[in-house]
Amino acid sequence: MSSDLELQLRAEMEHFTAPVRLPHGLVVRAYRRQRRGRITTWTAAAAGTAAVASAVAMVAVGAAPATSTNGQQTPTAAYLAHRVGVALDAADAADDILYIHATDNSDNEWFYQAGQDSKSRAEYYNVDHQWVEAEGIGTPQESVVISVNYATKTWYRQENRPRPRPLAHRNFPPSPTTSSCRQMVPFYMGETPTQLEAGIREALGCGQLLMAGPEQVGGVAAIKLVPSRARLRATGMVTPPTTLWVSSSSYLPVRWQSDGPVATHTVYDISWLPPTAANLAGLTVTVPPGFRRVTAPTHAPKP
Amino acid sequence: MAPNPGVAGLEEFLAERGTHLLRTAVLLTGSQEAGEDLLQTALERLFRHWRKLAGTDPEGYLRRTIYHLATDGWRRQGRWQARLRLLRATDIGVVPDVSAVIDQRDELVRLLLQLPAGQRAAIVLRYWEELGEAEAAKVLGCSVGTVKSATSRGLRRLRELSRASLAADI
Repeated sequence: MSSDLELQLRAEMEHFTAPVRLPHGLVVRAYRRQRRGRITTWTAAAAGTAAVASAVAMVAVGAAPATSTNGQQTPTAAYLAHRVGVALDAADAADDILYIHATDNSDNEWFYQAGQDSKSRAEYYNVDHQWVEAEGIGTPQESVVISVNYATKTWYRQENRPRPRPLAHRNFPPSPTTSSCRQMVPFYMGETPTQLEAGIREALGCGQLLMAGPEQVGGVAAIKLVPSRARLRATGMVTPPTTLWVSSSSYLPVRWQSDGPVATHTVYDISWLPPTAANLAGLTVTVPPGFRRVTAPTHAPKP
Repeated sequence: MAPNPGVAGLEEFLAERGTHLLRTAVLLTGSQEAGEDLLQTALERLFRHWRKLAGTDPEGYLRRTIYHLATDGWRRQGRWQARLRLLRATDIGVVPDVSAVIDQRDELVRLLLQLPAGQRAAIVLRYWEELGEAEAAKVLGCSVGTVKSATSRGLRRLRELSRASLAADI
């Protein structure tokens, strides 16, 4: 090292990184991430893509894994539910962040992400794809909403706002005779990963979704599960029918679609983000400078 | 508490050397958050190959992995990560990352981020880690000549950028 530039560079590197400290838990997070990768890889290998592909052509809701004449296990909807459960457990163990991009047929758009600790952030775009609002929600016990409206350049803070309605009581493994199986399990934007996981498990376990076959979703090989007409009739169709796609390799949900009563539908594309510092930072809503604070609405949206 | 008995030693090692590795990752990426992501990804790879690496120097493996990831554009992986970056890009102009707030004393480090990843890695190895050309080449898995040229071009570009920045301030 000889020139002034090189000396200055070394000094600046020292100064720039002086406040940097290794955060607590980084090793554990990395270990969990790596474990999760192993679990999902093992799951895919154990099940066998070919076996799954043949299984998805079947409609065998609620059946236990059967043994075929050649002695090999034939995957059924129940088997698929089990595999999805294992994959969701792995996502849960890794503290992965649920990340959803939703669009409806009116050209509205949402981005939603939620961590395992119930902290979440949503962004809304109107039909002109203008960023309208960002909103953060705390834990159910300490609900604090910071809502930023980019259209009006205003923001407000509201405490103890009711969170989106939690799903009905979940039983796992659910039984078709339990009370929680008597109505269609709906999915909501705003659910925590735990709620979403419980909902999907219950929908599969209760036979509300039938395997319809393989389908590509956003370049991912997936298994399509459609609402059971019998279940819809039995429940009086009180909630919009939901179609679900799970990855045929990782078994994690990759998309669901809710169909409304009058030709409306919303598509939710799902990703699972590792809980890295950058991704966790994405759960925090910040107020841009210059935005005017306004009084929070007195009427909280009904849960 | 260590994740399992097999990696207990790694936590001790990181307690001692982790901050230095993270500072390196921060220099390669430009922010604490991105640096943590980089180090975490390198650690995941270390765990994946932990058995094979038993008895070897974890720092050497981690350092090589960090530099390889940084020069391979690891953050471009994953379509949802790209989506998130696009979303955050709208934030950057209004609420900057606290760790990215750089005063004038860090101007060269800021300019360092404008260099291609290979030149940046060579400069960090030579002037932050203070490694010789041969050692730097070993870490990057390239020839000594490549390190020499990357360092030379990087420094030349830094001078140009620094002069341009100075002229703009005046």
